[in-house]
Amino acid sequence: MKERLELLAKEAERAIEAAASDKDALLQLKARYLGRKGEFSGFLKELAALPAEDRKAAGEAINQAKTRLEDAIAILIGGIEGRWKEAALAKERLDVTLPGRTMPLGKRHPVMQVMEEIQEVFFGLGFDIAEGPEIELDSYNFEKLNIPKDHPAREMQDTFYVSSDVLLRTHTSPVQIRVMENKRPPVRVIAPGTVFRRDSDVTHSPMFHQVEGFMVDKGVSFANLKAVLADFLRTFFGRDTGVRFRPSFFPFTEPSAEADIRCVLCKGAGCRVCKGSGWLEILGAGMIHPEVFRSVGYDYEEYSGFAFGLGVERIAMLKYGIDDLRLLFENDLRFLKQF
Amino acid sequence: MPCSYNWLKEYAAGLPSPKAAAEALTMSGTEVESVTETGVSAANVVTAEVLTVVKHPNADKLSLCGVRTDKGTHSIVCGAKNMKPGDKVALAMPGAELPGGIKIKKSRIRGVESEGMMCSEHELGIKDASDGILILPPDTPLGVEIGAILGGRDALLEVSITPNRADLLSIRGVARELSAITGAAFKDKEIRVEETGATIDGLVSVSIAEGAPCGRYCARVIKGAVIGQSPAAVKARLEAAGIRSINNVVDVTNYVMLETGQPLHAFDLAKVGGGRINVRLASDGERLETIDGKARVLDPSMLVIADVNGPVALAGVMGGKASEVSDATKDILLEAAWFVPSSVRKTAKKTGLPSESSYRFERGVDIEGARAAIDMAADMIIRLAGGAVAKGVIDVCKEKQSREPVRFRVKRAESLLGTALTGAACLDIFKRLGMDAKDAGEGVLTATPPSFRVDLNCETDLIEEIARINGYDNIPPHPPVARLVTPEIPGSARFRTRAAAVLAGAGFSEVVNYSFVSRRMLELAGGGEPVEILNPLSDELSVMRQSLAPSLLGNLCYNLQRKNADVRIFEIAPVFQTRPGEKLPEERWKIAGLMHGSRYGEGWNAPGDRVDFYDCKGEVERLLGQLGAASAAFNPKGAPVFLHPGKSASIELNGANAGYIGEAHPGVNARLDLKRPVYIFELDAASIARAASPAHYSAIPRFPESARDIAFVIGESMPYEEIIRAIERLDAKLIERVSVFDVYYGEGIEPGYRSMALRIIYRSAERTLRYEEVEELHGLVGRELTSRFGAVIR
Ligand SMILES: [Zn+2]
Repeated sequence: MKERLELLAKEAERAIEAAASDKDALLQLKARYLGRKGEFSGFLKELAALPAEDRKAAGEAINQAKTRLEDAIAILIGGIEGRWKEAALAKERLDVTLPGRTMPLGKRHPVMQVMEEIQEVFFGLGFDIAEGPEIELDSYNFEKLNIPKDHPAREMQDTFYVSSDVLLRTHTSPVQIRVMENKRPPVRVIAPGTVFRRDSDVTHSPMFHQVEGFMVDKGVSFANLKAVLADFLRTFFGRDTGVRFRPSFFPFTEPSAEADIRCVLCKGAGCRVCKGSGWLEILGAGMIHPEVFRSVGYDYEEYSGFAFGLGVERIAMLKYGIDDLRLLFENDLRFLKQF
Repeated sequence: MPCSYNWLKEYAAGLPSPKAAAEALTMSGTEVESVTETGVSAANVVTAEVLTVVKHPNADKLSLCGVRTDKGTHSIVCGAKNMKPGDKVALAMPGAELPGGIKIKKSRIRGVESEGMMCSEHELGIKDASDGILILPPDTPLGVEIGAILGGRDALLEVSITPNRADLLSIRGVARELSAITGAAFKDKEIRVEETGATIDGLVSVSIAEGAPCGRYCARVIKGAVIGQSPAAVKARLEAAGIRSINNVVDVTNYVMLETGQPLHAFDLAKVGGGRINVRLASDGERLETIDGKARVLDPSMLVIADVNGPVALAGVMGGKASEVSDATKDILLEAAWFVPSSVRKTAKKTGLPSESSYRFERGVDIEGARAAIDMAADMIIRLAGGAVAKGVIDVCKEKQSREPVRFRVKRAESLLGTALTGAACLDIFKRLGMDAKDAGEGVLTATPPSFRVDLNCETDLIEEIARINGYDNIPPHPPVARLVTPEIPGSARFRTRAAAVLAGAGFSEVVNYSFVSRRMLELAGGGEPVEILNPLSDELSVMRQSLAPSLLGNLCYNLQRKNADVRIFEIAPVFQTRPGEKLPEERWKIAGLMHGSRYGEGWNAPGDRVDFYDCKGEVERLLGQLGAASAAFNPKGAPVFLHPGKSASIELNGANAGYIGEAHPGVNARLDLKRPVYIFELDAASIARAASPAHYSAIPRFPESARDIAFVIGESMPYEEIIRAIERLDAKLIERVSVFDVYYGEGIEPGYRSMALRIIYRSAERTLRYEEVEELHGLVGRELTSRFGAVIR
């Protein structure tokens, strides 16, 4: 019986192998060999005739052979059915290159994005954020910043007036005064805001944005100013950005400085944007003027501080390569959605 | 201010190249905006005189000229029309090479030999374009290289001078500064005036009235001058500085002003009544016709130069027409004065007459410089216009301006600059800058600034000079050490930033509009008397916004004109409202948005739905929810009148008005030519900040819910919220939530009514509700709807 069993198993294996990719043939083979009336069932009937001590081993041999065949058929059928399913799924194909379904796209205004980025850098350095009114007293905008009436420095900033002593602030510097009048040193403050100058042409907008910053403490120095601002500019424009400081004049700082960065377009070779100089003027700064300290009641012998002001539009234009200031205030959605 | 490099070199011969000088100025605080090569670089171009002009025998448009130089007469073919016999011209001889690369040689033009070319200013490289050939002044000598006449090759430095540096408003001043920075030696010109005339005292007198804002008045007299044109070299320098040539005497006053920074004025002495100059304040209503031909009415704030008959000039601002130097003038009264800066500034502003002269006086002229300048001018006048200078100078000096020494502590400078310094190095810098400086011992220097440095008055001024001359590059950066404390942000600023992020996330793009609008736009949204700008750029930008809505509507129109049909925009900005009794108006931050067009965009797979009121309301609810102020109530009353009366609401937070939402009124649409409905909301940032509360956890229910639906027909004027509240009040514990899932008007429903379907979630926090309990409650809801609202259950 053992020999016959092996012979039959071999025959069945060969038959299964031959029918490996035909599901119907495999089902027929399953019935023919393993079915209730299949060829292996004949062996089971013979078991009864065997002596009791051989019966168990023979039974196990029959079952093992059957299981082996059953598994072989099941695996093959499973494989065939799997291939059919995959083929069917493949026909359900989507065009994945069609655009996705989204809600309309909304963007922050580039000027606001840049203004917030600037704030974040200084917030990270522990600068408070402060705000002041856009309609400001002459005394805060000018006089307490060491710009008396009838001073030529007033010509640097053409002013919109609301009354003889109330105006649209021409810079964010009055926030310096407002903060210092209310807080003793040490202070470090960043003041973003909208400012106004009576000037409108291709490169001037009557309204624009500034970020003012200042720091007052014992021993704050011009070397500190250079370090903080160069660090800021390199954080913003890239670690290897060239930065230079050159003397300038603002009535409310002394010494005063202007900071330039290496032209982001020509890398210093000279181009239209940098007017051939290879440098771009990027911010004004300086050590807070003794007259400003006097106007807010800070002791100039005890404390010192630096202040700076950045034009946000200019930085946004450089950052995004925008070549026309007016685009920033036209609010064309085709422009706004690019940032 | 344009500065001729060659002119600068007359004072500092050892200057580095124009580019290097420009860089040195820029890095010491005087920005040089550009360096332009100018002047004539051509050799073999000489002055010549046109003798004859005849038509070219073979060409209508050409002339044949006989032109004489010191070497003889030359035959020249010329295409220009503006020369006539006797004119002095610039003749390029064979072998000359002109700036444009043109090489001149003998040539035949239409069969006639031409022995050179008469040049235009363009061909000489002086101007970008020119009309005809250059005609030189009649007294130009012949055979001189044109470079020697027109100033030769030069570079023009466009110097931007900060308002504090009055001392740099001259060639001499810039040269002096360059010398201090670069070390090139500065050498003043030696001026010696040949006084051959009568004594001045017998000719004129000068007095300064008590209290008149005039510190010094110098006068000289030149008799017998001949008024004519200035030499080309003088004209060229004036022109490069943007000053029009008038005549030789007036040109000298301007030339010397450009060179020394001292404004000068020349009067026709014959027109100065009695030869008596009185510097005084004008009396009210006095009149003066200024050189520009305008009649000016003066007031007592204005300083005038007067003669016996009345004002002859506005001091430091502009001369009078009657006493100006004209072709008929023979005798000249020359003025070099010092007027108080603020007085000149006020007068120039009042009369609207800013001039080169007033510009310098306002900023501060060197009071010690008047004498040298008037001598230089007198000397130059007799050289250009002849005549004799009267003996002596009248010099009325009211205030001797002695400068006080300034104390300078080396330690203080070190601490303010954050860098190490030595007293000796500082002393050296002060001396280079023309100060009288001494070491006073114990780390203190004293330095007396020169009279021309009106900007140097205190220790910090001197510290800046040290930093500037040393170079900012030589101060090593050093990060500050500061106390570690958490920074503060104003509460509403935080909300505004978050609101912007939420709105951008919801598909709104941020716009930035001017804070000022036109009255016409402002009135779209109403709102009472606005803050008005006294000097607006235009009517379009003349009043401060009281609402952001008009600007957003403007943005919508702008975008629709550009075929951007789907518009979702927002703006966060303050608006302005006058406050009685307060100088400053109230400024309140607003968060406003506008929706127009399709709901989902124009995608291939998007339904073509258009946004409606509920899209807009949904965005407001989402925004408020994100900001922690979800408890807003929408009140059908109280929305502004520019909104549709039936499709708008005021928004209330904790019972207080916090904004509005609605469809723009059809009247507004009509005025703006808008075809489709527009939805707008505007929220008050501070109100949201006040109403917002941090999230607070409530337990997740442990027992199952029972949901029941109810549909009914109800009068359409009954607001949904009232219905909901009535149901919720029936059992606050067991009725968890009521929501609407269908609202229907139309067929099958009587006009004035609507059908509504609600889902009610019943749940207890303590146990599972029994079926009977839920049924009973739900029955109660039905009865409440019927009895309270007259609803008919369906
Ligand atoms: Zn560049």
